[in-house]
Amino acid sequence: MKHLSRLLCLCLLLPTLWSCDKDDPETPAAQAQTTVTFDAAYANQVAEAVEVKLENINTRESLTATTDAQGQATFGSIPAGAYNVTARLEMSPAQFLTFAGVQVSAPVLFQATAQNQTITPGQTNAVALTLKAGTSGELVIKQLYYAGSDRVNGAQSRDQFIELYNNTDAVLYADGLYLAQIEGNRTIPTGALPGHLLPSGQYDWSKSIGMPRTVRANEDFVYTRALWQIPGTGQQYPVQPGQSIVIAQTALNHKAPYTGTDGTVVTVRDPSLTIDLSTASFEAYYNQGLDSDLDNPAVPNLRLVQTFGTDMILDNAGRDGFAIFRSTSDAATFNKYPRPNTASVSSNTNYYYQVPKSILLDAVECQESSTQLVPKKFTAELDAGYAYCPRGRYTSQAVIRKVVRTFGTRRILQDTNNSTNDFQALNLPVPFGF
Amino acid sequence: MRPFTIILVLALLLSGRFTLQAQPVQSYNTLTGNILAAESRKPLPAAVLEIVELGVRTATNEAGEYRLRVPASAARQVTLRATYVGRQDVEVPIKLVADAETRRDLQLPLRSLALADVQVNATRSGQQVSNSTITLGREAIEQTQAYSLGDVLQLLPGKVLLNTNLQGAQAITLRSAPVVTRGTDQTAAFSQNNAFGTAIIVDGATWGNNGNLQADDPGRRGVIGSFSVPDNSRGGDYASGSYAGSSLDLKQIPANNIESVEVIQGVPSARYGDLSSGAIIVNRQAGRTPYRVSTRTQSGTTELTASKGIGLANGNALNVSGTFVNSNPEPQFKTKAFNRLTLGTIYTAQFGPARRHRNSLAFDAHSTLDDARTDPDDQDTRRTYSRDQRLALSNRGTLNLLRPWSEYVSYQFGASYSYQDTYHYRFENQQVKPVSDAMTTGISRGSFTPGVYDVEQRIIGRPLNLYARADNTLFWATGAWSHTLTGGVSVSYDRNLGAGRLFNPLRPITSVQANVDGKGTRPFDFSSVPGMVQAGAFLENQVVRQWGPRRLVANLGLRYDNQNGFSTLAPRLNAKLFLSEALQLNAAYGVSAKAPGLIHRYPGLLYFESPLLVSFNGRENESLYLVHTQVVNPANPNLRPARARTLEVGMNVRSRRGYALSVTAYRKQDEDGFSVNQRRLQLELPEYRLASPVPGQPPTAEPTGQQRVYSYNYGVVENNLRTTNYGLELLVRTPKLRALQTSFDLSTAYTNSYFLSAGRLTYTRKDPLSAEFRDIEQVVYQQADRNGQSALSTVSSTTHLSRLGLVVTLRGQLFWGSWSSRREPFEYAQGFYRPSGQYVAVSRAEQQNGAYQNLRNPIDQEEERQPFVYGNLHLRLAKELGKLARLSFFANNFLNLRPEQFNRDTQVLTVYNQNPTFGSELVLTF
Repeated sequence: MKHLSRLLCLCLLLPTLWSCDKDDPETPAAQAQTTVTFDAAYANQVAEAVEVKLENINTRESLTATTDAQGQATFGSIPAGAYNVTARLEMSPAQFLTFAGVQVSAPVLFQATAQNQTITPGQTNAVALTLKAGTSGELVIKQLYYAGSDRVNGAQSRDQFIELYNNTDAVLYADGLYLAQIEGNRTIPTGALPGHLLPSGQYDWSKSIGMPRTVRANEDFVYTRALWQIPGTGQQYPVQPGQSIVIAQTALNHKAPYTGTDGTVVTVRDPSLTIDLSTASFEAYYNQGLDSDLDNPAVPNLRLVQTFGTDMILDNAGRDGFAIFRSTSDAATFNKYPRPNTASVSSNTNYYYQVPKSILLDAVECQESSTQLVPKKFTAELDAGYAYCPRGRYTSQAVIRKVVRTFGTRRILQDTNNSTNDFQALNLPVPFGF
Repeated sequence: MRPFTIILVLALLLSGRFTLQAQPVQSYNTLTGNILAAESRKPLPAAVLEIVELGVRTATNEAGEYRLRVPASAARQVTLRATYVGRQDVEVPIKLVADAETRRDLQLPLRSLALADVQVNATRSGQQVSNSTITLGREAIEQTQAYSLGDVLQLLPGKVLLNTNLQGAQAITLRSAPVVTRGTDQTAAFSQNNAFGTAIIVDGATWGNNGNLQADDPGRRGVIGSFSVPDNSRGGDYASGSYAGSSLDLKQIPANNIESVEVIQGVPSARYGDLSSGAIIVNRQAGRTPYRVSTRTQSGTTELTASKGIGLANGNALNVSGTFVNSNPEPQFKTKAFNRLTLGTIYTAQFGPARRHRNSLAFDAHSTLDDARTDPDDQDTRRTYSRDQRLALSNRGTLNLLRPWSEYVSYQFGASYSYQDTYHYRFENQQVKPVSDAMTTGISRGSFTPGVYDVEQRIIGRPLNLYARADNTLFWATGAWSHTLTGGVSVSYDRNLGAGRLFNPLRPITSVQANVDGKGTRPFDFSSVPGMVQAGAFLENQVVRQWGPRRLVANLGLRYDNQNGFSTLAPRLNAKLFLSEALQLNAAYGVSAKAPGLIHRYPGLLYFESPLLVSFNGRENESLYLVHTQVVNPANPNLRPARARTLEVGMNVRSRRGYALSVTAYRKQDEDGFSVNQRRLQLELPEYRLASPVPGQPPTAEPTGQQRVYSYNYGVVENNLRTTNYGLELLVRTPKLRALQTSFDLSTAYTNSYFLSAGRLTYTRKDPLSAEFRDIEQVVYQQADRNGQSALSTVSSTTHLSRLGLVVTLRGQLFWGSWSSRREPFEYAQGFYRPSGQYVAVSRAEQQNGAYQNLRNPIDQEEERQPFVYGNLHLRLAKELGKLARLSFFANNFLNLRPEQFNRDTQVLTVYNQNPTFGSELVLTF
């Protein structure tokens, strides 16, 4: 009898052995699939080779994976729980240039986070991450229309405008930006050069009356012929990425500038040669007490810091240089000097503001043609080349930056500081367009 | 000085009269004879006979007979000169026999190159009333191959020989050295006054320019300028040819029927009034002449002329002459082509007992023939024309009364009527501009131009001139003194009946007309301008006293002019002392007055527009233009006549063999010349701002409560100009040297002119950046005094082979130099106006060292001088082919002498002398 009870207990124990083997007391496992994309600024495209890190909130354990060509990084078996998910992509300037076509000076860091994501076993657990970059950038000059349209059938020089563009992926504010028309020698010198010109033919500003000897007048500065400033308190005029602002000489519909009291519309002889600028962002209104300029009340006016002539008139032949800059101090307090060939100063001497090259944000040099080259106003690091309208003046041609990348609807413009390569000619300007 | 002169003159004039009353009846010596044509021995009626020393003249009757009375106690040895149109003058010495008739017949040969002597240069005989008169005879006129009077006058000493330029009006200035720096006449207002003060007298009638209003508003533009159409640097401006404020356009006087021209630059006879620089007396052909047809061509210009003097019964004659010019100087600019037609007839008749009296009725018509021209290459599709038509009627005559109280009475009356139409049409492609047509002072709402529209501008003038004059000449002798006393009166009336400036102020030609410094355009009716009347009277006595070989000829004149209510009493004295027949010393002193023209007295109202608010969004009914209009009348009721005072001394030497030398030195002072002076207008007007706009309606404006000062400049015609001219003229002539068959002629003129202007000059501060100038609105400077000098010699050699009928003239001009400078560096400001309108005077010390150094007026070039002496050489050739034809050829600058000078600092290349130009002419006479 005693042996049978012992044998029964053992038999009873056996299943427990088996059940111990089979019943493991563990946490459940889950899968997570992360998809990393760029944000709308880069057309939401998928991001490859991005390091994705899952950090468990409780255990502080982190797991990393790299996204594949579809932007996905799959974590096959991870403990279920709550995680903070981060994605990080660092591009060197060369990589960023290849990616976005924009030259930057420092590596660009793209980052994304998704906080407190619950990973549940048995579900797909998709986590979407949107990368945002901390790129710093500024507005660039996108389009220059100075040639004007036909003198008889078009709008002559009245429809000139300058367009600035947000080439970055973050919103920028146009308030307080300065736009300058650069002064320089506009004639091609022949024969022996007079004393006030450099060997390149450009003005030797070190010879201007009042120029201190200690400054490098030609190497470190440019000189403005006309200077305008966009008004605003600081955040009044936002420019979204991929959007632009148009600064018009006169903000009117130049195709049909006048509608009479009886409703008749007067057009120029051939409206197809000119453009509608009534929706311009800003206009230059020179209220000089004479009849020359009109003020469209719907369009804000530029602040006139320095004027040359009766209106914002750009050289039709294209012998101007243009630059934009910002300054914490009022540019009207900058030093100003007369031209170096002014022998003595009198009541009708013209002065030109001296702007340091270091604060210029973008500079474009224009010329009349590839064969008629006036002395360069900008040195090579500001603009190594030049933009020009092959057809010449009064032909409705404009110059516009080339598009180097497109991310959905956002275009990125080429800016290699060489306008010969960066700009191309358009047969009809397209304000706000391409 | 002046009252004394007047008393002296009156005493001399009247002394004769008192003596006369004590004398018995005047006794005369008579000179009589027949004047015949040399080739046919036919009598020449209406030939003019003159006793040169006494100024006594008469004409032949239809039988060719003349009868001259000479006061018996006057000179015995006289010179008789006979002239007839188309024939060479003949001069012979005559010894008068007491109490008997002296008979002398003369034969006048037809003018031709086959004659022994031909005079192709300007000559100074020293025998005329005005000492330094220069005569240009018919041969000289033919040799210049002139298109008009302007080309003929290039023979005067000191004048540059230029290619004929038929573009624009031609004016003449006498004895002046204008200051020309870098191609611009800095003394343009003075030159204009000089031209305006030159009287052009054609056959006794003054062809004046007082009623010409064909110019843009001097008050607006600041100058009295012609209404010219700017050409946007395509071939330069198309000059409309209007010449208000200057002399008559000399192209209206064609050269083909001019018999002789006398140019008076010194002291004119008292019979000539309404002038200040001098007189140009044109005598046209009247009498029997053969048919003459000529054609001439030169660089795009062709001229065709025809004339004939038809002999009628009783010694009367009818001269008919016509000229047609077609000019297309620059075929690539069609707007510069034009055609002109001139017709003239003169009917001379002799009437009265023994047909002693003579009357001549002249009718002249002149017209441009062009219609509106469009240059198909012109982008602005301009159409433009300038029409100038003139009709003139003049009747003059001489009644040879042969009484003691009147030897002859001469009278003249006439009228001239012109139609001047300057038209400009253009397609405007401009920005929409605010405009207003308000004609009264006050604030009003204006409107806007559509920006793209057609515009027309027109100035229509119809100057009318009526005049009449009469004078009486008598002569008598007292002892050895002989007197020729002439007294006369004249009156003239000028008015402009044209519709005036026809502009639509709501559709201005923006680049030319609209809003010059705040002044808008408005129409101006010329017929609303009152006419002006001038009256004058004169008394002149030519006193001759001969003793032995010596002779004194003194011409004492006194003239009274009433112009615009201003009276001038002007003495005119010309005295010549012949120490022998070979040597003459002369001196002259005179004053003359030129009345201002209608353009000076009535420049038209000015309308200043100050925009108070301009808001335009593309739709007129949602836009607003608030403007203040200020009407200003810049007419100057105190405008005095311009006066000139001349003092001249000279010497003439003549050798028996024909050498002649004439030296004249003069000082001429012009005062009260007309120019535009700047005045300042300052307005304080309220500022406005836009109240919030309502769509579909024009916005409303509300005053901000602030005032703003507006300042403008405008012009007023004043007597501002003063000129002092000093000069020396030297003329040397040789007879035809037999060995060379050539005669030489040298004329040298040196002129030194000082130009002083009392006008102001204001500069508006240009650069708003300079902190020093933020508080300066306008700086006021005085106009600079300038000085110009020029010396020019003309040498001509005339080779005349009479057997071949060939004349070759080489005319060389040597430009010794021209110098110009500002006499005083008027670079210092007198003061300035602040933006508030307050005037601050600034001293010279403050501008030299103190705070206002930058107010100094920039003077680019104080002195300009001709860098080197250079010359030019011209060739003229004329050959008669039998009796029928004459072929002429000329080449200006035929050696292509064009020295150059390059100024490195200004990068300007100056080329002296004009391009070589050729031309030819064919004249048929039958």
